[in-house]
Amino acid sequence: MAKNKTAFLITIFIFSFFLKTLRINLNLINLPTLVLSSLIPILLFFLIKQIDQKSEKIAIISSIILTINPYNIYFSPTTWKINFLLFLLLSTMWLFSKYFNNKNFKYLILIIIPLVFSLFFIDNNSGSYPQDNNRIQTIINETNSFEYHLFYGQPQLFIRNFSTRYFNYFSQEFLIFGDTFANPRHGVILYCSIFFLILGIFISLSIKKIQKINLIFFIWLLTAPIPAALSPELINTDKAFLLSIPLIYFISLGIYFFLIKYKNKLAYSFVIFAYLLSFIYYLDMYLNHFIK
Amino acid sequence: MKLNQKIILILILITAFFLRIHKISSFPAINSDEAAIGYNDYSLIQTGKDEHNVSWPLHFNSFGDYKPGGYFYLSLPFIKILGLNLLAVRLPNIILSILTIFFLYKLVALLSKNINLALISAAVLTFSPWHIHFSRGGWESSAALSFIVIGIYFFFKSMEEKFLLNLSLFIISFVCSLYIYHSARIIAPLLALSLFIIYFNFIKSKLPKIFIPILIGTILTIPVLFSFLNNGGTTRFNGVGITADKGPLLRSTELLNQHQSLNIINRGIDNKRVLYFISWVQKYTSHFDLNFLATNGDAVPRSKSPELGQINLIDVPFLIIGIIFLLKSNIYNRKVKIFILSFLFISPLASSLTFQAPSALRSLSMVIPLSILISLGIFSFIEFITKNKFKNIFIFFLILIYTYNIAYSIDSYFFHYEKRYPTAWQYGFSELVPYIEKEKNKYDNVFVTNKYDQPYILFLFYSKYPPQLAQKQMNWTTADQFGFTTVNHFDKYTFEKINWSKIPSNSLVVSSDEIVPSEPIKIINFPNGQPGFKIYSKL
Repeated sequence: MAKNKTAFLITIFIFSFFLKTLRINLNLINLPTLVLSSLIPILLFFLIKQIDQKSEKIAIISSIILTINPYNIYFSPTTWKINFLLFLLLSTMWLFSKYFNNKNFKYLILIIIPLVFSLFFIDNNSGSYPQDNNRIQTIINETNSFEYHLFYGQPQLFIRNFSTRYFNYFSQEFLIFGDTFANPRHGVILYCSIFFLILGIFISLSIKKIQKINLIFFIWLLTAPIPAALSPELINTDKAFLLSIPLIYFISLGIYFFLIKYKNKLAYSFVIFAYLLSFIYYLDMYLNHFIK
Repeated sequence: MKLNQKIILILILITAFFLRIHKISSFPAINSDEAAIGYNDYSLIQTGKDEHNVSWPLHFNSFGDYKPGGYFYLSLPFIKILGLNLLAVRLPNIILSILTIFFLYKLVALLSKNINLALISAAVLTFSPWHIHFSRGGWESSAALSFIVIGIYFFFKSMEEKFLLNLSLFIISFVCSLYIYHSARIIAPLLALSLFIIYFNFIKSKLPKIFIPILIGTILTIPVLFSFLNNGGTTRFNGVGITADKGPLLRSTELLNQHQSLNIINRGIDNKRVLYFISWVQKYTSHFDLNFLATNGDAVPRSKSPELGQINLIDVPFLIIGIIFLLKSNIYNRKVKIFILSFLFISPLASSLTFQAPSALRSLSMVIPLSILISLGIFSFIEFITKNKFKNIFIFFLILIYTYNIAYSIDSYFFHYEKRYPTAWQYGFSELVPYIEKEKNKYDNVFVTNKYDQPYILFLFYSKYPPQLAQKQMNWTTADQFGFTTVNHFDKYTFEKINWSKIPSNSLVVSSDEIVPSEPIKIINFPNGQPGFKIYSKL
């Protein structure tokens, strides 16, 4: 069993590495990023298993989905900073879970390493939302200055700007289609993943007693876009990169529930066929239509 | 039901009525569809024929869009009693929208057996910016929605008592919605189908009896079906349907051209059919985008208020809590939960099949499941905090935040809407037409800009032009690419882009932003103070 698992993880690593090299020339500069980003699916596998020992199947599915996920393929070859941050975050969480389960103090001490490393990558250059003086004048002209301050002033504008950006990360445009922000024109998850994402979230919420692992990833899902939503851009894919992990977790959960609900070959064939089609579509976009 | 609950319900309904009737004769200004409803009714009353000289049609040709006749016949008695004016056109929808709120209350009370939750649902719908806006106009979508909600209530009522009567009322209500609005022809049958599937066992147990109401429903549906097929229903779909959007077609060509050589996979993936399917999914899912729902609303100014979503921003957390509690709690039974989610997912289907999506107008029925979910969120939140010792503080802040949000949405709608988007509605015509009617006898011709949508119908409406004459004088243009037609000339009026040099002498000219080398004799301003119409005399 352990042998199979090792073989699986090595396969995942190699496949992940291969996918990331499809559009770039392999050289010594991008090699560390490629290796690091190819290790992320393996780390996610261990993290999910560590948080919940019974979730091995979900962990397996998650590592496969992460390997073929557009967000992670697209960002892996070149943007080493966010990959390294994600790697550090997953490592920290894995060590913390390890400590939580084993109560072994050495894991708590080891957490310091990724935490210290991550300090070098914190980007506080968040900027501010754009100001629109015409808007202020229009509102004041329409009513008066008191009403402007009561309903449309800076605090309200901040809430509005933040909400708009925050909601963008849960929009179909960001998740699936990417027409307005992505090159190639594809969202951050594969097309068929949206079905399993919704299923995963719905099922996880409908279980009477919410499970610890689901709660962790649900909170992660809700908080991950906050740094990106605080930046001036309407969509900032770099800053929202940590969102990829809870998305993948809930997609995997959806697939897992779908497969155990319909325990037959048809269900397996459906999932494989849907993913194959979606992945081919993405590869066509990524390899043939990128920057054209 | 306790006395205080009755009082709260009455207060909610009074508030709802006030929010929907306030300044209704002038705000928002008329739009050409409302004018068409009013004038065709007026024409029917006077001559027994519509503006196209057709006797008592089921679909009104109007601007070539073949409007379903249901709303025309609903407003006809109001036009007969109150005369041809905006109030008479809008009043049926206002009454029906109050009925929607009342029947939502009845429905939630019936399904949850919880009056407090039902009252919260009614309150949420009362203050919903989406519902307020579409209740305040001659919107067929809102009227059709009323019949759908009433029908759903009678379906569930039939499970408790008077099966045959209530089921017949359910079917009749749903059939009525088919006569009123195009989108209801997709949504109502799908909702009925979902109810039949979810409650299949119950329906099966009533099998012999059920044939009578189904027969009634079928007989009542046949005329609208035939009329739809024979009167340009398909033309209408071609005009506004998803295939009217040439984007996926052009994109397919673009993608195929980017390949150096084409193989079967490229042809399969970059195929126009695949891209139209993706476009449909994109349009469908866009209705669940929280920026559409809570921050920006519809892109079409006629369907939105400035800086406001279709629901209040504060509703979002309660919507999420509502979904969680719908899945977790036992307030609704499993089948009802499935129905509420089906309602939510069916509602944007009709809208997603058109090229303009997301559309707040065509997906209006979403407001009902959303109100149910938001109210469940608020109710669950209140239930949760009542166990807390700081419950009064929580409730105080909840009321405060909600009051602020509602005040914000009312402010946006009633004080900023008409000033921000004056051209979304046809402001200025109510002042322009009486002025022109008074002056036109001094001139041989009247030239009016066609910048604003279907100006001829607004002149017919506000001048109460005799329908007998209109039917003889009007000639319709050939349909444009979306299937719309218009009238360019009747009586002394010509509607066209103003080109001063081509206008003959002794003409009265109404322009918008066209350049005219003369001083206007009168300017009619929009509510924001910008000139809407400039009237010139060319002697």
